[in-house]
Amino acid sequence: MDADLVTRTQEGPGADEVRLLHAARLGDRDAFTELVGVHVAALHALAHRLCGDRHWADDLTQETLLRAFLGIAGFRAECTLRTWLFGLLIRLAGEPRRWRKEGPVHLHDVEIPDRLGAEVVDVAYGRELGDRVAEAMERLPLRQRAALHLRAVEGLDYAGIATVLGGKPGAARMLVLEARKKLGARLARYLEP
Amino acid sequence: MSAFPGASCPASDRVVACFLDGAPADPSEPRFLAEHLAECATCTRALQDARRLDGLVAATCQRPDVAHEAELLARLRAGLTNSRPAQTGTTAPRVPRRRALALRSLVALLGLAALALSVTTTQREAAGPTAAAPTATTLQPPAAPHASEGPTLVLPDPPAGSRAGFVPESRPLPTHEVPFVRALQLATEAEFANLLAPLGAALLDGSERDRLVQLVDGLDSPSGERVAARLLRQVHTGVPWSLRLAARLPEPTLLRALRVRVRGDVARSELVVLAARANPEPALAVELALGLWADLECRGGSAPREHVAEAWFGALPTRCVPALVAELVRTQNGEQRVRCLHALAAAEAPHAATTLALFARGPRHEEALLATFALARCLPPGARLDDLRPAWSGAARARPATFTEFLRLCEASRRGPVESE
Repeated sequence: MDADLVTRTQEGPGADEVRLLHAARLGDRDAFTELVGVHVAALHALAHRLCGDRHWADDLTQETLLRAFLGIAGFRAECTLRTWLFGLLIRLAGEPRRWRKEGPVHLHDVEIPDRLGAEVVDVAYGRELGDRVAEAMERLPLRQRAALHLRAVEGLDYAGIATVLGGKPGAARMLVLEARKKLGARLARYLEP
Repeated sequence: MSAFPGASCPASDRVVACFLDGAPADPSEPRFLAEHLAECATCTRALQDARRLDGLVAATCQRPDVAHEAELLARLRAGLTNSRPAQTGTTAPRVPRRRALALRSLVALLGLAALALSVTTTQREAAGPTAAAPTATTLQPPAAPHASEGPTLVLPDPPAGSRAGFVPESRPLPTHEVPFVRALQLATEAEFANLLAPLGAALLDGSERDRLVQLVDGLDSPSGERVAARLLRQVHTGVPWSLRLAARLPEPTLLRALRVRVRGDVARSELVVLAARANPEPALAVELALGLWADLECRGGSAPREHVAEAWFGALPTRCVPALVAELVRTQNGEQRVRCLHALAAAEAPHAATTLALFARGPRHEEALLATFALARCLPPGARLDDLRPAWSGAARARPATFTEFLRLCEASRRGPVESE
């Protein structure tokens, strides 16, 4: 393995990740699965945010990871593995009309609440707020939605967001701020103290 | 209503970027903005609102739970297996003890069928040998020095007084016998039958049969599997001796052969259904069906699996339903569970309603919805909610949020194509 690459990867990820990465590059599926396993939940959360649908999110996550396996040799550790995976996912999600929920809701996409018995007011309110936030996020452009999710949920800074989305940190800053403004306008009533 | 103050103060964006996103434009900006923040209510409000918004976005983020994450990883592993050519070398699958017990019932079934067929075979013996010499011109096993009459087969000298065939004693595989079994591997279907047909009568005798089984089993695992699978194929075509021979296969070999057979032609999976029905223990029948199903899913295949699921699980007898439900509840493979539910619903078997009602009360959204929808499909036309059988109405009422959805599904399921007037 390239000595410079070893050095760079060892500065960030731990030695275990380096070992798994090396094995994954050689085609070791188990090593790859172990390597990306810790990132599956975060990937799926982002996918769900972008697709607005759990089943599409499942498919998008799967497709992302499969492509990551095929292209693992191209990961040069210039960013963290998670960031790289996020970038793959967002590029896939950007493919037109492939992962977005469109048209009438199909039967199996209907979300059924899991609460039994009488609904408590605050529980109902919480569910309503969650639905409103999800709706407001869905109305954001894809890049703004992704940028805000990466900032608010994953804690990426502007440089990290820029790496995922492509572009410069200044552009990532604008995406995050614009997303907040639009979201705030739609959710103003929920922000009142 | 509060106004999002971003447009009211030009410094709001810088305040939020600096104090919430940790990205000041320069090292002196935090101190400058802190002084501004102390005097600007608009920027203070903007920062608070931005924090709340981030909190809402984080709080409403839908992360998969542990079970869902496990499903995603399982799906990834399956996908990785299919993303590249299969690894070389077939490792012999572990055969759980319970699966081995299930195979005994299959063997018993084959034995019972063989008894019925032996009458026909005996009649053929009386009429004389009917099998022709191998007609394939491309395949001729090497001649043995003391070959018996009929087809040229590599066989040892038969003991005096015994029929032409194999020496029954268990002994290491002689070199000159290997080509015969190799020929079995290479033969086409017709050649395969023709190679063994002359031995048909002899194979019904326990000794010759044991020897051939030893020969088959003595080969390296993939070769033995292929020959055993071909033997099973002959079972389907009704060749009498093949049934007896397959019944004598060792259980691990039989299971591997069954897997090869099912993988190669999943649409004709009668053997799986046959084994499930013949098994006296429902739990073992279910385990066999689910085990082969999981094997099928891992290895992929081109046949539509919904139809296969219907054939396999829909054919399980009623007594297997409790075992099937228990296994479905236990399994972590959500996709398998959903397919079983589809199959149960499509089969519309008498026992399906009970199973579906159980799942309609379950905690998993997709399964509960599938089960509810399947129940709705089972309703007779024109049925009202009050007409539901108690089990179904109980399942619907156990999930109040689903109750309304259940009604909607009932209507949707009864909404058929528009009839022409």
